[in-house]
Amino acid sequence: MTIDSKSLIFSKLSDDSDVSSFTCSDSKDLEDFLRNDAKIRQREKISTTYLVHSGTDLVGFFSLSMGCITSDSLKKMSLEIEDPPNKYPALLLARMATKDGLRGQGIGREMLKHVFAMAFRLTEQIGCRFVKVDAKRDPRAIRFYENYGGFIQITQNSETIQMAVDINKIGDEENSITV
Amino acid sequence: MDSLTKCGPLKTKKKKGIRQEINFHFLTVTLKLSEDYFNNGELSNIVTHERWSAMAKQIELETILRGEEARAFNKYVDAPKQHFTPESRALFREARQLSKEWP
Repeated sequence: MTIDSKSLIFSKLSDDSDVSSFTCSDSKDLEDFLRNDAKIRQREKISTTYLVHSGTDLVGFFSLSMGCITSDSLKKMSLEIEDPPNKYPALLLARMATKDGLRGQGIGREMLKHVFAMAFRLTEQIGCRFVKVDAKRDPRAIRFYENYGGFIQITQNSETIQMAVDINKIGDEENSITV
Repeated sequence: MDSLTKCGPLKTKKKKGIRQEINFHFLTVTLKLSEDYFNNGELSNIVTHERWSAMAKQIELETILRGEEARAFNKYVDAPKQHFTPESRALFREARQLSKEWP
């Protein structure tokens, strides 16, 4: 199945959304999340999930929450004095997945583009300094976020690598680029 | 069911004849409720247990960085643009344009 990434349709998950056709054998966690938890989380206002369709086929999804990055201050570390940590509000890309058999066709890139577009809109209304993602411990996933999102790895646990990108300077960057 | 009954009677919205989800901290239980349940509203009267499954991993909202991780992060904040790739710059540009097109 060939996908035209430019004709993808984005919509918010609703109680009526049928997600039963979505499969992600690389990560059953992601599949389970969409099938069993995404609607519950959305009702609880913990995360909001967006579905991506190509025609009538569900080909991907991503879920967003608000997050925070807390980092010890340099002053505290270098001078060993009490100093409050730096706290940065962040848009958290909590889950993102492309359907089995459709990877490498630009669906992930289009989803990431929507995430950044939402972040840019958010920053006009509320403070949002970073986009943060919980990436699978998979070199392909890490490369994807580094390459297409300019993310860096900031910490990790046994299951995921947390990555972030500072969106404060992105506007400056655009101004210096000839389109 | 033992662990459920230990929770005591649950206050749930009573809707006859439908599956009902009750959320505990890390568990979701979908229950089919009996007529008895609607009569006296106690959990012990539940007749079928349709699903008991651990929910997917919790969404970690906060990231806390200390020590070397904090040091590296603070250094990054001073100069994030050096990590932007040509592909990411192109994506940022398209995303900015898209955000302007939205109503």
